[in-house]
Amino acid sequence: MKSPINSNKYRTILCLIIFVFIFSLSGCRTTANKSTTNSQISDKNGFPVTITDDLGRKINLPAEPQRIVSLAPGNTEILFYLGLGDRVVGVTDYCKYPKEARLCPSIGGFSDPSLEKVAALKPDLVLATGMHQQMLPQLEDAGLKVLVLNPHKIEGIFNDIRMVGQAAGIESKANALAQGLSDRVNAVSQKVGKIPDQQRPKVYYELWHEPLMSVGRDTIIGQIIEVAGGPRINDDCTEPNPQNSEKGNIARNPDVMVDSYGHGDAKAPTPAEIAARKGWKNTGFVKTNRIYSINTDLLSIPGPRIVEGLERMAECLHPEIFK
Amino acid sequence: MTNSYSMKRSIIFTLLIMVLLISVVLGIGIGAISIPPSEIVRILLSHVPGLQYYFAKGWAPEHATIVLTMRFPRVLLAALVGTGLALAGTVFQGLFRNPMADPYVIGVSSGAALGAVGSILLQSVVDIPLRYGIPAFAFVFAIITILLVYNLARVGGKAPVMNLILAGVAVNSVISALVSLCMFFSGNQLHQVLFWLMGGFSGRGMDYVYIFIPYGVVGTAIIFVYARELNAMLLGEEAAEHLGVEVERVKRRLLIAAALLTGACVAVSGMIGFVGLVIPHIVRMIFGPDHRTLLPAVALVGASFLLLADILARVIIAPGELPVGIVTALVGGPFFIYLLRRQKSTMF
Amino acid sequence: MLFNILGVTCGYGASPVLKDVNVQINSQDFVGIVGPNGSGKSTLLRTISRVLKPTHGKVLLDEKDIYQMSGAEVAQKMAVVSQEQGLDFPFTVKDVVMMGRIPHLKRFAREGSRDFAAVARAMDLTDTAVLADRQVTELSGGEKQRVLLARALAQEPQILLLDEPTSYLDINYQIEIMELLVRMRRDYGLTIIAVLHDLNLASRFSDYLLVMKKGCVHAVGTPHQVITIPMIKDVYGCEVRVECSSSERPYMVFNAETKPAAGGSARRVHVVGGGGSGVQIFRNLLNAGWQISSGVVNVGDSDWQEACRLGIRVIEAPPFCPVGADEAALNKEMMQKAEFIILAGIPFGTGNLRNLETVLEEAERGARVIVVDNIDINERDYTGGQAALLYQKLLQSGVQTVNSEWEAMQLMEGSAGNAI
Repeated sequence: MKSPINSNKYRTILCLIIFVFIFSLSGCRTTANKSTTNSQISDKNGFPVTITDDLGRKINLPAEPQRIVSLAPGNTEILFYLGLGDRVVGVTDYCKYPKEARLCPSIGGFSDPSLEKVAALKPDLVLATGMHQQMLPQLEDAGLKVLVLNPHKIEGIFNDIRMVGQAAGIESKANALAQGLSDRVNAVSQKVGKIPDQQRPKVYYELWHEPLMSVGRDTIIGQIIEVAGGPRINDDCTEPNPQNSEKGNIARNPDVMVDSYGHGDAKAPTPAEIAARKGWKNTGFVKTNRIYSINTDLLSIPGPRIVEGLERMAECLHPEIFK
Repeated sequence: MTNSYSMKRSIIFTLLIMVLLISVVLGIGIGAISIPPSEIVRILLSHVPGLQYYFAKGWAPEHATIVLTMRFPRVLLAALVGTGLALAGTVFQGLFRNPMADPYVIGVSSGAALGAVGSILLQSVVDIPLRYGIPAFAFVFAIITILLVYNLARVGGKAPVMNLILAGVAVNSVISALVSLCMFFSGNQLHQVLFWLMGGFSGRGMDYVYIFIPYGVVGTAIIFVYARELNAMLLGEEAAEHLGVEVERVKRRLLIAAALLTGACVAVSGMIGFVGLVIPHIVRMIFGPDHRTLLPAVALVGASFLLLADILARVIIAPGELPVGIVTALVGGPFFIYLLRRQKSTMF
Repeated sequence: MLFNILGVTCGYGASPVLKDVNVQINSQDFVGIVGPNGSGKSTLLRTISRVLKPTHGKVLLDEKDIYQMSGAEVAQKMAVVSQEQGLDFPFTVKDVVMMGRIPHLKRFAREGSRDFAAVARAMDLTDTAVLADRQVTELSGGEKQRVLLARALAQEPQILLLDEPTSYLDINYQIEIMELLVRMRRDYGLTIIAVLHDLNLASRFSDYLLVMKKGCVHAVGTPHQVITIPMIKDVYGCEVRVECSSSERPYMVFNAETKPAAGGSARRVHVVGGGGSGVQIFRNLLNAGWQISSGVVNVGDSDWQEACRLGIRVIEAPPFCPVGADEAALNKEMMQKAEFIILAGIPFGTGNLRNLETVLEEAERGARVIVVDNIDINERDYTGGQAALLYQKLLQSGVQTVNSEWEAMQLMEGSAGNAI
């Protein structure tokens, strides 16, 4: 009876929706790589300066920030590393390093910071991470300047250090410190470069044991393992299959196992516990007892200590070369 | 209509409005930073056009920032979403003549969830504007879902209510599965996805309010306009036709209005359950089924309820925040059970 | 004002439920729609109440197609009381009746004094004013029905459609509702179209009946024309008795027990009557299990009507015509097939004198004749003495005389030896 009118109406509605959709997408651009080059437009003193953060947002800082709030442990470590500790006015409950950070006022947790507390501290710069994206509009509405640090690789962390330094007006110092860290990484890399492929142990990195989680290629930890001279046995977060190892599949048989401790208060599993796991008794690393533990803070926090983590990992994988 | 009856109703309505106002003030007053109520009122009033010069600026600027950019939008949003969900729930219960109907029964919310989750995942490929991106995607997908469900349910020129419910359930499960699939593959976006799905008002600013308002206003207006027809449809679709109501046309419009409202609510605040299901029942127990009084009452009660739930969510484990959906269920559920026990007759 | 249903065919799926239905209903008619389940009564009602559009044909109200009119426009003229009560929500009775005003109210208008007056009057007429503030969910089935009727009346319609409005009612309320409908028609000029499953109710109150069978209109006519044993047998497939006296409407009575005798094994009796004299005889004989034939009577004669109603074989002559030779011959044939011949105490004129002659012939041949001699023949002879002469001859030819029809019955049963 009314079908023609019906489908007309639906078509109109659908067109309207698609129109709105396209309109809202008009603010999108495809970015293949998120480059982290920082553009610099500066006058005397370096300020005002426009910084491009890891999400591609351009933030204009009119003056040197004196009150900085960090929304993540990694950002806090970077700030203190750069010697900006006295400018830090707010950190999260999880910012425990360095010790001085614990004296700063807390603005809440890592995933749920209290934006009110942040605003009440009247910061002129806020360092956030990729996890805080949905809060950005509100922070901006409150008139705050927010830089997002979202590194994907070790290099990214060093870029962030440079970026923060530029934002804080200590560009040259930051560059120098970043360079220093970079050099340490290169040192490891060079030594590792001399090791032939056959001598590189296959690494099974256990992120967490219940459920069994490893790391993939695109993570920082994965990159660390690779730089430290050990290809991973798997490139996705799946549970390793002990049965395969037992059948002597050499390609899959990890030579080394590295796990981490310090997630909350969890202790790493002891070698005995690992050996006791069903089917794991015959894996290469249990037999050779090449099971190592590294403090998770050194590997998971995207800050300057990542280099320590790298060095420690290299020690575990190639003890004969490193120290 | 005896005088005392309408007097009683006027009194209750006035009470409801007062409760809402108090909730608003409470909502703005409570937060991590303590700001005295008088200051809050002055800050708010100074922004009313015309009154700017009567209120001296006697407050710290960051307090104004907090009140205006963080608390006020949040409170406003909670009230609007509460109204929207409650109204949508009332319409669905009336249209489907089913006490179990709620705004999510026809799959609108899972569609919105798919849109939102999809847009979050897309951010690694396409740069989606943060402000409007997620809600826009969520809303568009919600509308697509309701159109899909309606067309699935259509037989000839009509969409029988039973078909709508069944189509909604079917589409709901498929889309929920898709959402779970997205979550599985979300990698390091998982946190953002979960944050959005759990729903809530933290971190939502005025731009979310602006997104909501056009759909909220249109949806609400349509629903109020058809209040009388909704009454007639409670008598049965055929009886309503005999009374001259163009049932299919009214049904379509009400469905779209309720879907608009629900889609907008879910788009700006994630999935908050229980409000759309139970508030209409509670209000109906007090005001009766006549939609001309039921709808305004539901709007007021829904707004106050969600506001108070949000306050509770902020306060219970301060400085942390519970997801609002948990509070609405834990608070509203037992209260509803209590009302049921008191009520001797059947639920409807 | 005319309600014209033209060639309507409609259904719910592939096969049509209504087939080519044509009905014309005039203003202020009281039409009863009857028929067995599945005959399409309710479907017909739904079609003419603008709920189910026919696949073919049109429904015209005052020559306008109701499916081209808006719902409100139709609802202002036509109200429906349907079988499903649908009162599941705790509205008050007042609220429900007030909803009857919806077709008259503009979108944002509030109810006015006119509306309140209509509601008050509707509730008075249906005796529901006392229930005004009660919740409809708490009412009994009968009370709900009256509330629905009140709502329909509040619409101030010109046509009232009812779908089995008495299903839930006690007998007293059934009569009351029907009488109310008749009153509404008389006082407000309503046209009433009611689907009724109770044939007697339909017969008593309707002007005429529409009998539906398998989606078609099987018969249209007054109750007298339509409520007959053959019709009921044909449409409903069951045997009943139909009783009626001339001032009343026919009503149907269920047989007390099924008669074992049927067809040829029943005992036959031929009744010669007319003018209503045979009516009682017919009934009593039928009750006793006799198979009856009758004749010759004119079409339209009371005996003729009763015979038709009862399905009794009757030899008929056209109205106002004398008994013809053919009819007399048939009459004789019937008499010969019967075991008994009963001559009722009828007046004789030139028209039916032949009947007397035929009876005399048979009596002289030896047939068993019972003559009801309750009134002196001379007082019922309008033939100038011919009838009296034949009558005397008859009495001398070995017939049995009785003083009443009842005695005749006794005689027959007595002579049979055992009553059946």
